[in-house]
Amino acid sequence: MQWRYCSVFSGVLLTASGFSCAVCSHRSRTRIRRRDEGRKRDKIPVDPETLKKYEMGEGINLKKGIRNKVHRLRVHNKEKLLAPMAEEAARREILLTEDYGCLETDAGETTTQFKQRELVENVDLISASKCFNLNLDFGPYSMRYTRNGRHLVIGGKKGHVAAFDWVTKKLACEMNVMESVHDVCWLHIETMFAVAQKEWVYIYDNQGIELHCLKRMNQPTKLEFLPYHFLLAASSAVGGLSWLDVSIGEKITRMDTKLGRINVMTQNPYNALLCVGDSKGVVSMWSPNSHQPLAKMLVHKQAVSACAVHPHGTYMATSAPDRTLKIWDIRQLSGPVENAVLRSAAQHLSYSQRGLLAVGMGNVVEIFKDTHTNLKPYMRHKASWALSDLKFCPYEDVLGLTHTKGFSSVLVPGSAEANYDALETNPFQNKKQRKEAEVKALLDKIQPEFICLDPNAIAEIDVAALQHKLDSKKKLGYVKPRQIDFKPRKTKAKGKGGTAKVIKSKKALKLKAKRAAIQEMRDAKVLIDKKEKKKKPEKSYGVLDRFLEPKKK
Amino acid sequence: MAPRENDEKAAKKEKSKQSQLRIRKPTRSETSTIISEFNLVKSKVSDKNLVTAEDLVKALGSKANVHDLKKKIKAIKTTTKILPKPLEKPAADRVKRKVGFENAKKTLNKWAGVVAHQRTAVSVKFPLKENSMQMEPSEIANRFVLKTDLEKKLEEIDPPKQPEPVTQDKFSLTLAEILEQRGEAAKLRAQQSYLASKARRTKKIKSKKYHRIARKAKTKQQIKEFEELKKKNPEAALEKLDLIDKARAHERMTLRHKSTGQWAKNKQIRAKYDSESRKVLAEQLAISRELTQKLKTDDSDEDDYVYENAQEDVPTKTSETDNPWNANSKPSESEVDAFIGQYRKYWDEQHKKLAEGAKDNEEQDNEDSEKESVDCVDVTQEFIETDNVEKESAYTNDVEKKTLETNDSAECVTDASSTKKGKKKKTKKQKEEIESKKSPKKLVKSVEETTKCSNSNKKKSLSKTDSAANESVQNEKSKTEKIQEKKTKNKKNKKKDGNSEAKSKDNSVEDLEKLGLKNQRALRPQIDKPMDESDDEKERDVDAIKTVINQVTTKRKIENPTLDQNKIIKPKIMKTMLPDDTDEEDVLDDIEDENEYVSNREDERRFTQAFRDTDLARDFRKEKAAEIKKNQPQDIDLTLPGWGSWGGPGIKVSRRKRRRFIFKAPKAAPRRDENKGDVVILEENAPKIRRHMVNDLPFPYNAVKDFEASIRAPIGREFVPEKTFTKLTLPHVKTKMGKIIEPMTEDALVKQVKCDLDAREKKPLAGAVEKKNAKNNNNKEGKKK
Repeated sequence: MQWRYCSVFSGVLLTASGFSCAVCSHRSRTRIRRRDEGRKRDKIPVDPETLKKYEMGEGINLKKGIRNKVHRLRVHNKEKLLAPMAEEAARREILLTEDYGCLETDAGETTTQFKQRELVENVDLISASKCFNLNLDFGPYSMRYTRNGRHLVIGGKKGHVAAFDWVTKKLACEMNVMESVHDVCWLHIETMFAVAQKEWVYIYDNQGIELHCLKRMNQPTKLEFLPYHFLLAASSAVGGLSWLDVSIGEKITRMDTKLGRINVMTQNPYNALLCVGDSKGVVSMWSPNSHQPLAKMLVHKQAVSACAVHPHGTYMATSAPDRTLKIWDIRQLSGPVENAVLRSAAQHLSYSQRGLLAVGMGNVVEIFKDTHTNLKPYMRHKASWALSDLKFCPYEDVLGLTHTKGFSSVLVPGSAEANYDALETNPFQNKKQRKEAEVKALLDKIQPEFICLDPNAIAEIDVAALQHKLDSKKKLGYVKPRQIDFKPRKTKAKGKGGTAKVIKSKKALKLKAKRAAIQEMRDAKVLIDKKEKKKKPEKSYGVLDRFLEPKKK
Repeated sequence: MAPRENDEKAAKKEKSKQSQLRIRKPTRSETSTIISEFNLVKSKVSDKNLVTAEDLVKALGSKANVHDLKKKIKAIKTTTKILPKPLEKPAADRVKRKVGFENAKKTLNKWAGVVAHQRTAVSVKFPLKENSMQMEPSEIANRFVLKTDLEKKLEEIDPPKQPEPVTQDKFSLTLAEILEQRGEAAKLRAQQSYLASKARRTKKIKSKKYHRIARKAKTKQQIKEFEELKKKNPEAALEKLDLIDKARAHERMTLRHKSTGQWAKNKQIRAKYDSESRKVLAEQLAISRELTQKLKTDDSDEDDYVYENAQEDVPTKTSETDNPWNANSKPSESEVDAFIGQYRKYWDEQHKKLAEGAKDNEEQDNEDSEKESVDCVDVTQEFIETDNVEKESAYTNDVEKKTLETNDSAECVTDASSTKKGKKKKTKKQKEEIESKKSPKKLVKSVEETTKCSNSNKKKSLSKTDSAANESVQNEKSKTEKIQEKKTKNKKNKKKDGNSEAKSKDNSVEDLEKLGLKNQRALRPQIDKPMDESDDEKERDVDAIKTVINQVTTKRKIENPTLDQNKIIKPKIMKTMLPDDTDEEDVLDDIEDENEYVSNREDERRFTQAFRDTDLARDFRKEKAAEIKKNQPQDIDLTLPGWGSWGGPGIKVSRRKRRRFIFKAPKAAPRRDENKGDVVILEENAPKIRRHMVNDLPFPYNAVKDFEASIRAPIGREFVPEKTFTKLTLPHVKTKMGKIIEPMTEDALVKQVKCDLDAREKKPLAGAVEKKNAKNNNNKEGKKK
């Protein structure tokens, strides 16, 4: 059984279980011989876990679901096509050749004991070059990586803003905006970034040229960019949230959250909601479509000091000044699945692509793994200055830290996704590819109206509307023509007024409305009660009426 | 004078009319060369003097040469059968139509398989028939063949043979085809004649029974068709229903089946003495009732409070029962009530019998059970031990203690010693006791026992289910207290009046119900049987008790869902690295294990002290409650205080008014955050995404689920694997550029008829078939060109 696995996940299992390659190759040779004998080759079984990843749920109930024979056969044919899809996709995982990094320890060692210095000594040169420090003097910095993890923008509190390719250390631009900088954020490509300055949000290109000043986003504190919706979201010091569509340059919504100053804001990549942590220990989830949060969770008994969401949108980590760290299941909106008490309060949180959680406390970073199953410390690092921000770099096993005196990049093996989908995000994309990707992304842009708690809602039927539709169609047969309140516009002009004319036009309009109603009913193919029952005038016997039998209702 | 003349005239007229009406016998008065065939027809009037062929032959005399002729004529006379009179034109047409329809259906159905295949095929290629891959040089290609000079000269000398032009066949049809056609025509005729003869036959049938059966069959068929139509095409069904309604209206209008005709009157006279005629009359009336039966419709606008008034109710009832129109309608509510009442009476009687029978056994049973409980003490001890093992946390211990404290000490002992078996026995017996109307003393005792049992049950379940829940502990306490209170109440009752049998019984039943025994009723052992102490019974009892335990636990689960949902997870202590700039206080707070963590939370408490006046959790819950309340539809109260009754403070609104004027709001759909604890999910009335959602169920799906499943794999490279994508986007119809798509011929069908024909007449047809094939080939070539 194991040798078969070997041929599928060659890298993974060999390192994990310690099988020697000789065994593997030997086994595979025997397999080839068997094929030569002319037997039918068995298909290599697929790992059920991987299969589960690609499954799309159960299909259509053909027996009951579709009455029409022809259509049933057609659907059956399509279902036959879709059935092996998951397995096919799972088999293609063989093409993901890159392996995730990890720290392996000998007996008596722990992963937390390794220092960056030791790591740098032991890794290859290119990886070692990814661990570096930038000593900068413009106050606590904020930072952001691009989606492909290639570029970095940092903004110092004292106005220093710099954008560069951090791998090659090639500087794109560096400037001082002569204002306090609260947050920085890349837009959809690495040629544009937004900076939350003292009063407003500015957009610069990678030359440092100011492209826009967004005065609608005033007193910004935090910035987020929703890549699939092309929305730039900003929170303000007065408790406002605003969304701006950067593809058309239009303000989508601007609202008051009534939460006071917003210091904690992240996006949920799964459903593009903004998670805002407030001083009442509540994390609320905001979409641009509603002036209320879609959901609220009481996560701590104190103010929320940091909040991070897993890239898959499944879990959320929150921390409070009471030194607690909690992991919540935000797809189910339940939890906490994990509850931990740290030795000092966590001020910064960040999730890596593979689910490592970095926790910043003062000048210390603690990295945890298995956050939702069994929280375990993985690595730790001490910076020389108090941290102001930390972010994992996508597609690189690197954690970026900013502090009062600059920026430092730290190696965290196994933090990032090893295999990238170049059609989605390409760390090595050239200019042409970037342009192409931009156009494609614009074509695939999702409208802001689609932002809601369950992003799969669009693939569902609006059952309530359907029900209502059916009910109203049923009722249509008994609906009277629309009542029109006809009040004439009084005109003093000669020949316009006059009761006769008013009555005439009233009649005409009524007739028109009636016709419209009839037509509507005819279109809806509803049977119309042609003869309306005439009520019989009840016979009156005058005073003797009281002796009549009382009528049943 | 005048009248006489008139009479004469009238008589004359009459006579002349008669003479006109009479069909004259055809006569041949004059000889002529042209003899009308009509005069040879056998006359209806009289055929006495008709000249027959035999007469003519007779005239020839008995000569030898005439003998043969005579014979022949005789043979003709015997063999010929007179053809029946043809059917009347409408009937004949009907037959013709029917046969034509059947045959057309058959011929069309031949195509069904092919068409279905084409419609369901993943992709269809046109033209359907692939021509052979053989390449044939076309005329144009031939033109460009290079020829040497020698060849050209040779051609001049000896021109190549031109292909023979296609000769048209002499006959448009081959022999096989003609035969086939004839066969078909014959078949058609045979079918028609068969149906015609059948129609003639059935028309002659005079049997009433036959017609009745036929009519019934017909109506049955119609009903069946209607049912089918209801499923397939509801609109058409509705039309049909209208027709039926119309027929009913007609029936109501006419006097048919109303026993008003002469026949009915005669029958009525006879009915007094003749049961047969009475029956017939009743049948007639039944028919009319059946035909005028109104189709069932639900009158939802009839309010129930109409029937509240008994005064109104009585006459309507009587009228309903009298009314033959309602004879077949559903049983009314009163009838149902009556039935239930009767049933209850029967049930009570059964009980009485049982009680009498059980009284004898009762005491003996009691003793038995007591003995058993004593026997089971050993087992109990074991059980208690296991219980102790189960008690893991300190919290549960607390619970146990508290509950024990509340109970009397003696009770506690019995409680503890009640083993599973014993308990089950007891509960069962208690039930028996309650049902069989025991003395109040015993009864109260039994109630106590049940409560005890349930207490212990609860405790057990508690220790099993959730150990650490503080709040649940409190709940538990309060519950036990309540039960205690009830007990004391019962006791008081007993003291107050010894004969409060029924009352205490009610109470006990209520108690049982509250403890979740109500639902268990269905699981009770059969009461009619004498008590059986077999193992089987015991097992059943064990099951019953289990269900009770389950119910109790689930009930509690529902009561405080927040606890179960928000599992209180023990906080993990993470020994993280300490930052440099931490205060000394923090450094001191170097916690080692949980207990220390609990005790060393001083500073935290200090921290929270600052926020004491703002309990965030409480505020949040309040907010949630407000939100829930806001979204719940409210009852509409239209009562006018003091209208038709006394008004003022402290006066209750009457039940009638409440029922009539308070419109109860429909229950709100369960909220998504109902059992989620400290989570509020605000549900929007009209989320914007609804505009983009599909709000119709597209054909051919009948279930929302199925349609949603159909779009689970969107067609696109991003959503499905490449292989599947190519398959999914395969064009349904493929055509070749510039090719004419001919309509399908019968060649697409499986040819069976031809084969049969070939087999039947191999010899004479061999040539013909060949010929036909040749012709087909020619045609093909022609098409190609």
